[in-house]
Amino acid sequence: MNGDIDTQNLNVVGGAEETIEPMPSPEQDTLWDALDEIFDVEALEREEEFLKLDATLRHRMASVGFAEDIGRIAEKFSLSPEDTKNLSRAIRYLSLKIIPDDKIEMLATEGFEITKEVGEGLARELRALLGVPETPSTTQETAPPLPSPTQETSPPLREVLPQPQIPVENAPFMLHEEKPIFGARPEPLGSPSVSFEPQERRSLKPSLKPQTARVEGPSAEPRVVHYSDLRTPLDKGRATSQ
Amino acid sequence: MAVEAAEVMGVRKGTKNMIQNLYGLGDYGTNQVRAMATEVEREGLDPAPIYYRRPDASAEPKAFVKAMPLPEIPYIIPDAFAGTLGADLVQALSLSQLQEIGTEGEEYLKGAIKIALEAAVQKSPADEHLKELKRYVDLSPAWQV
Repeated sequence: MNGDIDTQNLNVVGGAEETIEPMPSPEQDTLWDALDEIFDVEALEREEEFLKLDATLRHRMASVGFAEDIGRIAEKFSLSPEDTKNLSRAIRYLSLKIIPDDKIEMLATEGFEITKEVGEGLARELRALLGVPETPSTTQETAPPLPSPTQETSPPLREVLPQPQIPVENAPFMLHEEKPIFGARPEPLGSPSVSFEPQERRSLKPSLKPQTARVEGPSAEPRVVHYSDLRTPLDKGRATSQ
Repeated sequence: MAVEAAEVMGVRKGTKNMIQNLYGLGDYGTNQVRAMATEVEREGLDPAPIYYRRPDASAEPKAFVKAMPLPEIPYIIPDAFAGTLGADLVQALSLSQLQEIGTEGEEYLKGAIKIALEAAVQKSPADEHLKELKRYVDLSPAWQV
């Protein structure tokens, strides 16, 4: 080490091989003590689950617009600042399936300091925000939904993901489904190497005048007939022997 | 010497490989990291990967954080937000940077930023930018524990 390097801060241990002895500041130690208190094993596991979510869903959950949607819902139902944080946490847990979808009504009516009627409205908002369809029991019990601020601003959370196909056995009964008889021809898996379609022959040169056979050679010797431009030089002796 | 230490931490292997040694630079104080980066620069290497992990060690931490490429933001080492310098540094973050950390960042970084943000808001309660950052962090499910 030489020059103007701050050797005091490097805390160099002498010898042929110099090393820097790690020396975090007391403020760093304080920070890590606080972090260790916040993040217990369960919290770390939940975070791990969050990072395993589809990137599109994570991005949507972390978006400023989605946070604003939650803020609007909290304001609409006059949630306290603490309940607003709890609402955001509940949405995280619902997204991670830590809280199942069928507990949304219970969560909304019992998890916050609001009346049951207000909680039912909150449950509808949560379903709309998350893109969770209402079950038949919830639709019978609840009044028609109020216009949701989330519907105007952003699509439901689960709409950002590709929707799973409904299995045939779970599909609704259909008496008759009209299907086109002649559908579009399916694309072959791989294009054939040979095409039967007429194609333009772009590579062909303009047609040449047909070669005409001609006879060469002195009249005294055997004659050689050429049918093309290729000429094999024939030595005289061989030519005479033929 | 400093180069050897930096090499161990993956500086020479490129920024992405440093993710594997995320907390390597967290064992050092701000001034130690700064001295290390200076030595790395003296030896003709790019010190930027060190500053990307520990922007608190750069000459102008707030300006450096503002100019940081977005993909590097989630890999800041939480120690950068420790103490009074961290409370100052968090003020330089933008909403889009917080959004990126919310998507890709890991829990300890989010936790460190939340702590630094609390301290910054207490220090400057009227700061509109801080209020905006705190509102987002409080409302976003990506930032809840």
